[in-house]
Amino acid sequence: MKISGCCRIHQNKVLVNGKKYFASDNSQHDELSMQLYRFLKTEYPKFYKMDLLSKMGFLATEIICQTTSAISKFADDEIALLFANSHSCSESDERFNHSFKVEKSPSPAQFVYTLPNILLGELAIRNKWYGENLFTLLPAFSAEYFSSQAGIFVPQKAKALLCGWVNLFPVTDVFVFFAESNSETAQEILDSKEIEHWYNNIK
Amino acid sequence: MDNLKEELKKHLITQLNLEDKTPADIMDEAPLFGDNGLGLDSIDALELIVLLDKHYHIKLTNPEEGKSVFYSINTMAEYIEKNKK
Amino acid sequence: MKVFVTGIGVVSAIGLTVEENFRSLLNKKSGITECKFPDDQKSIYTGRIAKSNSELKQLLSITDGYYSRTSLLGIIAAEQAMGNNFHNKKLLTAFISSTSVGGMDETEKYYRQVLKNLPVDFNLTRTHDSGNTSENIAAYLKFSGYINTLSTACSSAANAIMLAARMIAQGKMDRVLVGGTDPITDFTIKGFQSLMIYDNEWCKPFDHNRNGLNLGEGAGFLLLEGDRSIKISGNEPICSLTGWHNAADAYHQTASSPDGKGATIAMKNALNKAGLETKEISYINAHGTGTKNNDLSESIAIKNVFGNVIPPFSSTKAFTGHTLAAAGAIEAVYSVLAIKNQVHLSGLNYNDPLEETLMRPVTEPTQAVTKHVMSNSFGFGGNNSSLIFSRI
Repeated sequence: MKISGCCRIHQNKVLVNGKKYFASDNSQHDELSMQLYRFLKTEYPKFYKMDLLSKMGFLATEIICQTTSAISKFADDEIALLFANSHSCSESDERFNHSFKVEKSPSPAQFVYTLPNILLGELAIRNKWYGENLFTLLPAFSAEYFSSQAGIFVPQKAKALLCGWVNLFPVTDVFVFFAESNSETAQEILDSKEIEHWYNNIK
Repeated sequence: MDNLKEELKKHLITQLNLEDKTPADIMDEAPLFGDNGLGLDSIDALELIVLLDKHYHIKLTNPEEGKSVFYSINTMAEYIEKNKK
Repeated sequence: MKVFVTGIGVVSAIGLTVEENFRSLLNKKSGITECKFPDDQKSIYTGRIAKSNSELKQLLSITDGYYSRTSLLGIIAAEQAMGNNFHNKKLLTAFISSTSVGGMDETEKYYRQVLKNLPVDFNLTRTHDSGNTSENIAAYLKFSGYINTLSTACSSAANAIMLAARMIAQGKMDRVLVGGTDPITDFTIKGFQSLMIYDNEWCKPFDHNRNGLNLGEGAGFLLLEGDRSIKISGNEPICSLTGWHNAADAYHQTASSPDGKGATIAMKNALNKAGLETKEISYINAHGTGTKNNDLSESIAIKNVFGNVIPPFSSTKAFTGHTLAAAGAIEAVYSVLAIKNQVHLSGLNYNDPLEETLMRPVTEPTQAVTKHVMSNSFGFGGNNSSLIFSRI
C-alpha cells in the first residue's frame, strides 16, 4: 500500500505531505480549530456542534480530501476508517459529567460525544462513506499498529484506508493519512517506517 | 412577546452552538428543523427541551410534543407564554 | 482458515453463568427490575447483577488493588470462556476486550468525593481508562502478548469478535479470547435519559408501543480458535463463526437512518462472507434496543435484506437490558447457545407489531432446526455490525 496524502497537526502547526500548510498564533484547541475551520472555507454548520476530538479529526480529514485527489477514485464503501488515540473522549466525558453533576441538567448534545467513535460517524456522515470503521485505544502513537491493522482490513472489502491518530493531550497531536492499495495482490504491506516518517516530520 | 423572541434566538444560538448565525438570521416564522430551515436535528430538539426547563421552568416530557412546539420561534414563544410559571 | 467457537462465558442480569443465562432465556425470566439509585428520586428499570463489587471480588478471590466493576464482570465471563485452556507455548493467543464506559463507575465514586469535599482517593481514577479494564482482565488470567481494547459504542464487542476472527482467518493468531464488558453507571443512565430514549417501564423491543431501552450490565466472552489451535488443544468446537461485516450508516451521530442503510450493508455482506443465501438463516438475534428509532430502522433493514421471507427474530435485550459494549458478546454467546441447543430464543413484553413493517418477533422459545444464526449490533456513530454463527 502507499500513502498518498497525509495531514499532521502538531501544537499550532499544520503540515500537509510534510509541507507547512497553516500555522495558528494560538495553540489552544478551541482557537486553533476555529481558525483552521475558517481558513479552509468549509461550510458545514454541524462543525460547531462537534466536540474537540471530532473537530480535529474532521479538519484533518477535510484537508486530506481537499489535497489528495486519489481519494475520489474509490467507491463509497471501499474506504475503511481506522482511528486511534490514547485518551478516548475524556474531554467530552468531563463536560457531560459537569452538565449533570454540577449544572443538574444532563446535556444530550454532550452525551452524544462521550464515545470516541462518534468522530468516525461524523466523517462518514460528512463524506457519505459506508465502509467499515474502527476506533482503538492505544497507550501511545504506534506506526506498527496502523501497519498491522491495515494488513487485517485490506484483504476484506476495503481498498483504501483513512487512518488517524487524534490526540488532544498534553498538546494537539493529530496525524491523518490516506493509504491506498496499489495492486490486486492480497498480501500488501503498509510500511510502518513510512508512517513513522510522516508522523515525525513536524519541522 | 418580541422581547421573548429575541431572547429565545440568543438562547438558541448559545445552547445549540449555532456559531455562524446571528439573531437576525433566524426568522420568526421559518421552520427550525429540516433542510429548509435552520437545519436542526433530533439532538437539537432534546437540547431545546433542556433550554425550556433551564430558562423557563417548563418541563416537556414527551419528545413527540416537541415537534409542534419547536416548529418555529413563533410557536416556541407562544408555548412559553402559555405555560410560563 | 475456519474460525471455531470453543468456549463461551457470560454474566448478566439473568445469571452469573452460561447455564443460568440459558435457563432464564428458556423460562422467559427477565433480569430487569425496578430499583432506585442513590442520587435519584424516581426508581427506574435496569438489568442489574445482584452482586456488589466486594461480593464479586470475593468470588474471584481478589483481595487488593483497584478494580472497576467493568473489570470484575469481564473477569468472570472471560474466565468461563477460557475454561481449562490454559497457556500453551505452542499457540499464539490474543486477548481482545471492549467497553464503552471503562472504569466510569469508579470515576463516579471519585467525583462524588470531590463534590462533597470528602478526602479523595485518586487511585480510583486509575481504572477510568478503557484499556485498564482489559489489562486487569488479562492480568488476572495471566495473559501477555497481544492485548487490545475496542470502543465503538454498542457494536464494540461485535467488532472485537470480527477483529479476532480476521486475525485467526489470516493466520496471524491461533486463538483469541474476545468479548466485551460494561457496568451500569449514572453516566450512561443520565445520558440515555437525556436523549429521551430510556423507557420508564419494561422495554418492549419490536412492539408497536415501545418507548425506549432499559440499561443492563454484564460481560460476554468467547474463545475463538483456528484449525491449528484445535488440533493442538483438542477442543470440541461448539459452532463456527462464518460471517461478519461492519458498515457505516453515514446518517446521524445517534439515530439510525430511516432506510436502514448501514444495517442493510452489514447484514448483506456478512451473508456474502459466509457464502449463505438469505433463506439459510435460521434465526436472527436482533439488536432490538426497544427505542422507536432502532427497532423501526432495523426492521426495515431486515426487510431490505430478507424480503418477504423473514427468519424468526427476537431481541434478548428484554431479558438483560442493553449492556452497551458487552451486548455484542453476550448476544453472540446467546447465538451460540441457540445453535448448540437448536432453539430460537424469544423476546419479552411484545404485544403488537410495528405498523410500518408488521413483523412479529419470536415470543416463545422454540425448539427448531438452527443452522445459521445472525447476530446484529448497531452502535452510536452509525457503526453497524453483523455476525453469523454456523452449526458444524
